[in-house]
Amino acid sequence: MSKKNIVLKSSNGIIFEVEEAVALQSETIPYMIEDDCANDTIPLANVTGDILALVIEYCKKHVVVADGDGGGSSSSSQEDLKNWDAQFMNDLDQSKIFNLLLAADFLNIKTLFDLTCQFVADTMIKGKSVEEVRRTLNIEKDYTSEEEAKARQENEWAFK
Amino acid sequence: MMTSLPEDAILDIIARVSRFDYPILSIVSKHFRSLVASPRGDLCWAAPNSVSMMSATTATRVVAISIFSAGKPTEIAAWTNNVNRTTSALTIDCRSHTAQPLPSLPVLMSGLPIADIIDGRIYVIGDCHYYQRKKAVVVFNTETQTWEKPAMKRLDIELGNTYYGCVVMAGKLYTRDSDNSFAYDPKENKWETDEILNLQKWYNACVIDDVLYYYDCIEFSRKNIDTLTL
Repeated sequence: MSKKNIVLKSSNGIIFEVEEAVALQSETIPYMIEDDCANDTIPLANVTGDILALVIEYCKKHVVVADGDGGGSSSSSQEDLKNWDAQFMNDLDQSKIFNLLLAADFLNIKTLFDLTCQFVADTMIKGKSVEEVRRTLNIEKDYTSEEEAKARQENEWAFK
Repeated sequence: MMTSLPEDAILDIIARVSRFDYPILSIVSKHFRSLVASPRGDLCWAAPNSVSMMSATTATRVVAISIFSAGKPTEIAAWTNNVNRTTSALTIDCRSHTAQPLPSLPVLMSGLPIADIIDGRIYVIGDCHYYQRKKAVVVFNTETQTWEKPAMKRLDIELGNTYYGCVVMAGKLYTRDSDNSFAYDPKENKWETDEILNLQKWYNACVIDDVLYYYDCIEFSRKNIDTLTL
């Protein structure tokens, strides 16, 4: 069986041609294929080229390939994939991580969305100080100084 | 440029964070505080029967036993256990993690008292010091905030070690010792052996939507969470 390719176009006009099985890890793309002509390029207005490259790198690694017996098997062992995921995320900066999370959300790639959310929870919240969480998640402080002092007092039990 | 995350992604991320990080998050911003203080997050207590915490007033570690919902989704009640004697009870506000003491128990109790709430009344069962250390029930009315009189109700059954805990189902309190399961009907102040539960070696149980979930003492297999539909 010949492999069918799908052409994706990033918001800044960069073209990626990928195997169908790779692209179909996104649950959004099939709808786009149905809506448009299947041979046309699928425009992804919310995803820039550098982020789309990362999404495709992830999807290529996680694609389930059909083996000779007709059944499905993962292209890598679960353990290998976990290690690869960890390395993949560790190499990214905050901006790339957030944009990757947003792209996974938009493209509806559940495993990538889970991976990025968990990474943010584990590396940007867990065990961090209030100031670190504000900085990394880019959260504006909406407490007045008095209110913040009161909130700190109420939660003092946790810092002993 | 810094990127910010949309609300649904933030919710998804917070759902993956341990409750230990909630105090920090509630100081980050008012919005985050409202997210971690939601009742949804506070209902995650799955039938715990002990917790240790620091007393804010005395800065000593207290061990609370018999934790259960105190009638509101954001409040739990607990008994503090001090050198095997239980005299103090408290409610814990799950939003602020602060404890409010209840009036002291009218009788001194030991032997790991168990407790649960039925129709606004907290029933505590333990070894009563004024009754040759035999099991008795004392009742706290959460509306009047007082311990009911008479101070204790004796049991007309032989209930041994209550290590296994208790649950409330359909207005009755169920507990067990090493041999038998019992049901207590507070309206009739009557105890009886429960034949169905007697067949199960249940403990660390909780009831969700009229289904009893429990840990089976014998079968430490993957199927150790068993259910019994009422």
